[in-house]
Amino acid sequence: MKNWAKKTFKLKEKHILLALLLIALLGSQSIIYSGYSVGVDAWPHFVRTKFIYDWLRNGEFPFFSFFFYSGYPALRFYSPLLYLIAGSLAWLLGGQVFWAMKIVLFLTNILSGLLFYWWLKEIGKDSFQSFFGSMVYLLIPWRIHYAAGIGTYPLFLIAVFLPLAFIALERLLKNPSLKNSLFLGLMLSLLILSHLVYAVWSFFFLFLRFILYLFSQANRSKLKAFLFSLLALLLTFLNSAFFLLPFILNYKNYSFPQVYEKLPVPNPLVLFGFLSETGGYTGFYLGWSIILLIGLAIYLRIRNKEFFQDIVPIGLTVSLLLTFIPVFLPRGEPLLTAGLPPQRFLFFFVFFAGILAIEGFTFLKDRFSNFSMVGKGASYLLFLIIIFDCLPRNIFPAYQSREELLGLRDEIYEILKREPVVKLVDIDIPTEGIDIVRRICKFPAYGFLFGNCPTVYGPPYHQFAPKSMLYVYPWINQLAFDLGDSTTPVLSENSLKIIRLCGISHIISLPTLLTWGADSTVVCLKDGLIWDNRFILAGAKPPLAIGEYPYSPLFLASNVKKPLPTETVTQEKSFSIADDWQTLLEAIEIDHEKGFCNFIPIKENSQQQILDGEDPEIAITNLALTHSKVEAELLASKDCFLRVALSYYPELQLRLDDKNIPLEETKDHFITFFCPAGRHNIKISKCWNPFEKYAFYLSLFSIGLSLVLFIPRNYSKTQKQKIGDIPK
Amino acid sequence: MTKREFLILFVVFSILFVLPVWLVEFLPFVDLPQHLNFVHILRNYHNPKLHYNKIYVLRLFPTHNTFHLFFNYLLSFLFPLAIANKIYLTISILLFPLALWFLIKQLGGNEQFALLGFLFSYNYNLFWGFLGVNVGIPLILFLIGLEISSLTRDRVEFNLLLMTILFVMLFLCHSLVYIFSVVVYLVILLFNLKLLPWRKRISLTLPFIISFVITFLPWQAKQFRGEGSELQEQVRQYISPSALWQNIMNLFQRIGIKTDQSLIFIFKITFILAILTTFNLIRQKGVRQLWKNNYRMIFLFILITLIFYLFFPGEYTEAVFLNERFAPLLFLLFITLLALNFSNLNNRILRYILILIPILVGINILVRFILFGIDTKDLKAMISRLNERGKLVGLFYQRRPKPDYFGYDVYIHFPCYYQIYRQGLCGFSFAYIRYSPIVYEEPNPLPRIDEWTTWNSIFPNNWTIYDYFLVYGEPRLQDEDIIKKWRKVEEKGNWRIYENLPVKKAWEEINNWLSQKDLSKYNRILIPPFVDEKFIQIPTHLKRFDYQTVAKMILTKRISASDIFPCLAIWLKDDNRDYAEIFGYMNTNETFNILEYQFTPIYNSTKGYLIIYDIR
Repeated sequence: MKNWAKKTFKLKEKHILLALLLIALLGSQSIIYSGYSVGVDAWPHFVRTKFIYDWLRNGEFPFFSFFFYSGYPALRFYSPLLYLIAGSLAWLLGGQVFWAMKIVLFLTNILSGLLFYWWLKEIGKDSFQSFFGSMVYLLIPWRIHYAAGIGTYPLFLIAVFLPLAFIALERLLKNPSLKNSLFLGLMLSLLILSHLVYAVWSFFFLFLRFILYLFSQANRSKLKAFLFSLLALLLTFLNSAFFLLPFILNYKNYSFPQVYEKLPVPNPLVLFGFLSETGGYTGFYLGWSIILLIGLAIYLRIRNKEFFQDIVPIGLTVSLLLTFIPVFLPRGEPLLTAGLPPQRFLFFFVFFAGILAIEGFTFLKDRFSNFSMVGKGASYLLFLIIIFDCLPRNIFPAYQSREELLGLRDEIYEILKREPVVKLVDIDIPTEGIDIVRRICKFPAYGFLFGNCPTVYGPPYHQFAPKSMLYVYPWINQLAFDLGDSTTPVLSENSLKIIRLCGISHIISLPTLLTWGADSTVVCLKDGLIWDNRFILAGAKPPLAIGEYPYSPLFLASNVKKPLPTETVTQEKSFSIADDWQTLLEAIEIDHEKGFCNFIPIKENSQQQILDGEDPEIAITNLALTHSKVEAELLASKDCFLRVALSYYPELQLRLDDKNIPLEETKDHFITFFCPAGRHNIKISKCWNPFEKYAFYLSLFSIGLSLVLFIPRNYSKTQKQKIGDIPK
Repeated sequence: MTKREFLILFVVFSILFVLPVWLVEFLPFVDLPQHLNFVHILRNYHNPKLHYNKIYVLRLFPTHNTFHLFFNYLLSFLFPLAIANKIYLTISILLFPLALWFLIKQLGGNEQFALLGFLFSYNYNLFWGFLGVNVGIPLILFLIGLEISSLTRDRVEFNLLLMTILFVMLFLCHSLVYIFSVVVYLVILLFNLKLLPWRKRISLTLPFIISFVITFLPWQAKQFRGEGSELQEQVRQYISPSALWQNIMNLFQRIGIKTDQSLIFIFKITFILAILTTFNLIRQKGVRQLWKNNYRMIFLFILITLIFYLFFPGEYTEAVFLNERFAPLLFLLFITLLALNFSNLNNRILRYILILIPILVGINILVRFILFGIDTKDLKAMISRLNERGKLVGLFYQRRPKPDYFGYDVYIHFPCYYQIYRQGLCGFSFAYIRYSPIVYEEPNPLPRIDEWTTWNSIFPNNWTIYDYFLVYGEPRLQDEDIIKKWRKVEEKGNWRIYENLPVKKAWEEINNWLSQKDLSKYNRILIPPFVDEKFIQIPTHLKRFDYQTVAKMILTKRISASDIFPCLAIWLKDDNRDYAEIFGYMNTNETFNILEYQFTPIYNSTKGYLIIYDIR
């Protein structure tokens, strides 16, 4: 009889899990549709995935790329786990970066529902309650729209690891042991490696749970739990040291000055569904069915004086407070949001809503059962209400076709793949605008992903752009203005200087519009570049042209290194720029053909140096650019100083004919060094610095040790249990 | 709930739901301005000042979709057009709960549920401005209610009369609702034949037969153009898995306000409750219960509605037959089903729900209308300040208010208000559509333009025809170059009105030229039609003709070229109205010959918008 009951229960559980899987599949379908993401924020994630793919394919040094920002420490300041997984999958799939990411997101979304189910079972909910709570966690429409629609992809991993972290903490609190410490440490480090800011707030909520535990337990078990929690924290640090240590040590030096923009909190009317969403920051529908169940649960908690009984209602309230409190904080908001939209805290609302909704469900189910017309179908009624309310809102067009996305650029990228592109700038519409999102975020990503083109811009976020961007942003803005200026037929000397100083080899732009009237449209392509005008077609939207700079743009030679005063950082629109960008531009004279400039500006505290003789002349051949190194053969007519349009980082290494040569930072934060006359092989690369190396080994050791101590113990225990189950 | 409480609530809800219509000047119903414009044209058809009888042709009967036109036309003898229209809308709003009440009563359901009928007063059909279909839906409920009552009554003469009137009204509302009502009516009759004596069977078919003979049959005879292949294509297109999937997925978005999830949530709950309680009923009493008594009627009704909603082809002989229009009806029937399933329920919770939901929905709709009213509050004054009898086109780069209160493109037909207030012509008119009750005389006075993305028809060349531009939203970058040339007459809130300054200036140059030249050798002058009278000063000795009239007269062979030529002619560059087919060479600004006449350009305005030809 007992066996039969057990069997029946297992069968039910299996059915419930199958139903949950089906709901997860249906609710995740939008992620796996074909096409390309509509949300701007998605593109940096694809770029980072391609970094990993490229690094794996080429066997290169990770965590640096010369493809963006003229070189920057990629993934050093952005949690890398999602990209490590998606990039590795892309490698296995033969370079299918987009599909790799979609598969990872699709699977993690499904997995998050199943893990949440496990978490609910762990805290004592029955199978149907756990199923119901997991369904809520999966289907709250805001979650998938914020994660997949807007493109907050790391949230998918957080949705997986947060329930696991809570499971680990609950286990540690119930049974403080080394195994549970290892489990918690591993989960916390995975949170850190998924997304640092979400991880910090996840830690906060886990800490709240811990505090509540301390208030409710006897002293002895408290101490034990405390000690093992400290061990878990230590392990967390060690596991993620390869990312965390360089981040902490370099954070201050490498951060780029930011103009803080207060981002709006989500609109409650949109969250309640009274208004349709009008943009990324206004939020999305939370689901009336879920709101009502949560409201009912909170009412019951307050009525029964159980509001502070556990973390769930507190966590839910705190997450809502964090979401909306920035409205009332004139100054302290960045501390909470790290400069990102406050609606991110709604994720924690979703997490706690999944648990709290169960209480509303249980109450209503009991009440409805009394109605003769509903009877035993009360559970199904509530289940159907959630499904009907939320599931259709989870199915939405998150992607657009390649044709819609790229238009003519698709063909242009195919051409550029075969060209020696040193750096590409996609001006798009040639108008002034330093922070036009398409120009600085979308098109650089498209160029890299579809055309494998390096660029002067970088993938957002710009918090860790190199300092050279203080000059590059206003320079490119000036170049775009000049390209759109219909009063001159030739690119100005300043524009050509900008191209050379930034190391730009190719430009994509709409042609300059001269007149547009009833009869005809007259456009021109300004002299100064070699234009490919095949894409200026009647009816093509938009008509585009590729402009090629006729010389090798990366190197400039000079006899003079001249110190100039340090720049002051000022603001233009939403960007920080150097105040002297124009003065500097006008002071430098360039002979484009010879690759000579009148002087190389260096930092204020450096020594002026002058070499005698005629103006140097350089010729570049065999220029090759990969993520981790730039190589070229250079012929210098005489001893000279070289300026390379690569962003300066102290860990960059220069080898001139296999000899290490010290690098110096220019005033505009690029690279300069001394080059003797003659033919040379130049190699600039990023190398490990000691603490990066040791932090990496530390993490490797710690993760390995955790796995050795954690998995086999579990494995042997399972084996023992299985042996024990055999009837004697 | 007592009968008295129910009636008090009904009155209170009636006031609450009617209030939005009376509070705002402009209403957010997409096609409404076009329908109002038709009433305005009909009302002024013989007004000698407006010459509508020369611009439009009436095809009033037998034509479907004319209920709003006739109703408002008649009422406009008593009230101003705006008030007449509000009376019409008030009636349509109240018809929903009344019709639902009537049907539930005839089926023996719980009448309290009729209060939920108010939720459908502002429905998909009303927001799209399908004003005939909107009234037709509750009329179907009345019709079927009467049929159900007639099945059990001995004396049905009065019912027969009422049903015949209802059938005729349904045809006038829209042929789609007429066809649907006929199908439902006959199917219900068919499944109840066994219960009826022969005489009654025949008498109950009479309302359909009479209405069919006097309305549908002559309309079909007039409309039919042998478009079988088109219909087959429509069937293929609409009865496909993807169309079916779309219809199912979008069901809840096609009931009322699209952008309000709280309303959609209520509809979803209604749907789930109706389905689940019916399953429970089957579980308790067996599947045969569904075929008993009144359940049979409601199930047949729901089944046919569902079939029409899921599979009906989109167009038939050019009458737009959107299956989506049945979604609100489907939900009215779900409520009827609920009223049957809960026929004996009368407790406190139900009372609270039936009071709370309409109040919340009513306030929700009221707030939205007030906010919409704020967005449009200055528009009437702006339009009223424009010159009379000009040509205005709307450029709605944003077709909805922001935030989007309703989820419908409510602004696209607002240029019609210019015709209503200032008797001009508007960019897009239903008069272009040949099955309309009022159509343009051919050749059309203005080129037919894209209804949804007007700018595609207007830019870069065709804007010169119009005098005014009503702009809402941010223009496309390339359009801004041309818009810069216009003069902004007024800007209020999100609305902007521009005047066609380049062409106006060109007319000033032309007037100047005409006043300086000796034109005594000419007797006639040919000018573009519908030019603002204030733009043009023609010497009195010249007899005026416009291209539109001349083209029409030449086409109908009422005049020959020698009756017009030789003459002076002013040509508007890039004018692509229908008459341009005859005079198209004039756009070349070159000398050419047609028949024995030579056309010679003798003056060009500075920017080339107007050209004067000497024709001899």
